[in-house]
Amino acid sequence: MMDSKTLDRRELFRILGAGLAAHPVSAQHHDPESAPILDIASYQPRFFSPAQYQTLDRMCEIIIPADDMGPGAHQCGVPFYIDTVLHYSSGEQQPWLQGLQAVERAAAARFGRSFLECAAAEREELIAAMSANEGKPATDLEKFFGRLKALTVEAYCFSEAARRDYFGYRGDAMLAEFPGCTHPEHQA
Amino acid sequence: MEASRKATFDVCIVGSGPGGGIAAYVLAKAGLRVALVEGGPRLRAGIDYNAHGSVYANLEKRLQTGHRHPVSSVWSDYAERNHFTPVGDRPGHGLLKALGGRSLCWAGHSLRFGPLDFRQWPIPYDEVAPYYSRAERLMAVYGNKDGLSNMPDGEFQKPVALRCGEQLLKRGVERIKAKGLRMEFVGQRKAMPTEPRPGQRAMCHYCGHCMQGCEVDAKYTSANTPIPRALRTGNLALFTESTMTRILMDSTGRRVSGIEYTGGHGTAGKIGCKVLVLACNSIETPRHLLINRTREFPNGLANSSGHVGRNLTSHFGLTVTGFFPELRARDASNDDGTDYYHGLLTALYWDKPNPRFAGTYQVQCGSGLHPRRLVIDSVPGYGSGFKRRLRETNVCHASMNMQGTLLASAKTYVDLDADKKDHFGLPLPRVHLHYQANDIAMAEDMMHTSEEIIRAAGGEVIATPGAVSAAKLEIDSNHWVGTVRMGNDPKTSVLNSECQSHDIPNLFVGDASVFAAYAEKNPTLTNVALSWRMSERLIEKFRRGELS
Repeated sequence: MMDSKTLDRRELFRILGAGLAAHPVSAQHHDPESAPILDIASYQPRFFSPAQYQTLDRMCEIIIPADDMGPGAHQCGVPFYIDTVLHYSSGEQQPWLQGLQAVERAAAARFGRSFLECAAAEREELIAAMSANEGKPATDLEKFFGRLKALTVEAYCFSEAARRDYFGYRGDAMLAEFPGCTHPEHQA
Repeated sequence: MEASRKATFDVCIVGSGPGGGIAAYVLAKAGLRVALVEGGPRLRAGIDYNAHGSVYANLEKRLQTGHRHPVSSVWSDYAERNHFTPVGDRPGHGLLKALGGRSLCWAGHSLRFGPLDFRQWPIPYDEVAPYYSRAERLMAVYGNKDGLSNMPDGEFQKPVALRCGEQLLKRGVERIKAKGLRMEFVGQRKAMPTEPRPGQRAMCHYCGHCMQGCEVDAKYTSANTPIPRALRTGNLALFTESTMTRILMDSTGRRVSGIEYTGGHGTAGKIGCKVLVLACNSIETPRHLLINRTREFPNGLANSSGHVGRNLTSHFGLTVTGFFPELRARDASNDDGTDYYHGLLTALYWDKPNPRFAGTYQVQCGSGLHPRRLVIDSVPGYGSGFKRRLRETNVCHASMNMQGTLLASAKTYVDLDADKKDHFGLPLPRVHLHYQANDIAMAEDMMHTSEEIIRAAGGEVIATPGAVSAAKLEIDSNHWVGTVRMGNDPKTSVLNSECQSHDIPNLFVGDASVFAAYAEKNPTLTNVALSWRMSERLIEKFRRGELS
């Protein structure tokens, strides 16, 4: 769409003028360097048990897998996001616990073992069954899929890694000018 | 001179949104002593709201402070809840209690109403035009000179370009126009500086967080432009976190003498005034007039016509989304801009009404990759195919959001809830909304027209209501107008053409409830222009001694 000119921050503040001077705090929020460092790899779940957290991790990765197009849910920290949200959102917790129980029941009924003990193909088969009636879910399992997918997608899209390395998002920047569409073939 | 609680003021303004803010500025600048009463606190841009930064890094802090939504937003963090009773077709009622009101979270769309839009008003376009010009200069509105008959050009800063998806929709519109249909695709006009203005608000930096609250105060708000200027005159006293609980009348019962309010820590107070300006919004202003029933005004203050709360109208609409395969090849880009809608489909049915419905609509058009407001509902499945489609849909889509004029009816109005009360013991407002066949017919036309444009532009329709019913229409809870309308006949209107009560000469209204009729265009610019004009008329009358 555009080869936007991203300016040196100091230069940009000069151009943007006096308004910024009144907001010293806002300046640092534009600077990814100043963001607190988050250690997602060593995160210990606070809402889910370790086994539930691992199950969640596997399910999220099936919904948004790592592939040659870009990172998947695991790499982007999606389980961290979901566990953190649920840790603070008591109103949303119960359906998630019930949903995970429904997953375990389905795994036991189909394969005679827990979700984590299932082979990769068996896990995929379970997710396929969960998503069969997306849009018009009837069973507990199908309803849980909608919940799981919505929060997985939310978490994925908010992660810096997915934005940068998969979506190719170049926003949340300070531009002196918005170039817009410059493709001759798109002009009316 | 913040919150000096003393004496009687020349003018007391209640409500600090787009209408109240400009009134405070114009009146204080003219030397009148003004009190501005606002129910909420003063929020600091970039500190009390700031949508920038890593969502993951901020997640814990957001959740700890009770915010489920991971990105800071003035609207989701501060808007009132459970503050009204909805009746009928899912009416909403936007109320943001903070200095500046909903000007903090508006998108900045600043479109002049045209000569045709004023046909049912007591004043013509030419009467409002000079105030539009002043408002545009103060607000710093950008836009193109489009030369349209019924959306006049204004005093614009340099425009902001369309994104790829909007360009394609424009192409579709040009192809359909070739068949003889009347419509125009233009760039949006918004209140954010695109050119440097030394000593004034910062320039826009195109981050797209306009509605979440502009962290550098580039976007115009009442809180960042007129109110600070009014304070600098030394003539304005600001009463924040102060909610009006009663309107006080003088001994004759025919004139306002002040208000009672409850402050932040439950402290009660009185503000005496020679003139009262209500600018609480199109639901709250009629609500307060209806609450204050007296011996002289048994149906509510200024309500001898019985029209307070009636003639309620807003914008309603639905959304149609297209997918454009040719955008797959697009480079990684920064599509943020000035929030989502950079394009506008307009000039439909201005001169020649559609025979199937009364009124007009416009269509706000947006596109581009915005990972914080993704189009995901239309992407089914999971796995690599889903993941690819998720990205494609967001890179390759363009959305068309209808904004149509709701046809006013006797069944759509504001009154008081007999049972439910707010924290101050005041009855909550009830908002009644009932769609009519006219609204459905207009929405169907918009849906078919939008689908045709998407296809003509080379796209496929990926999200559409398909069949329109009242259940699929969305009301704009921030665009209500008309409940305290102006007019020449005191039997059918509440205010005269100067926004002064027919019944109570020292009562004026400065919000959008004064609109005599609606247009498809967004209301705020017209609200600011009318409040500016009202304030000047008030000053003239005040100086002639008519108001004291």
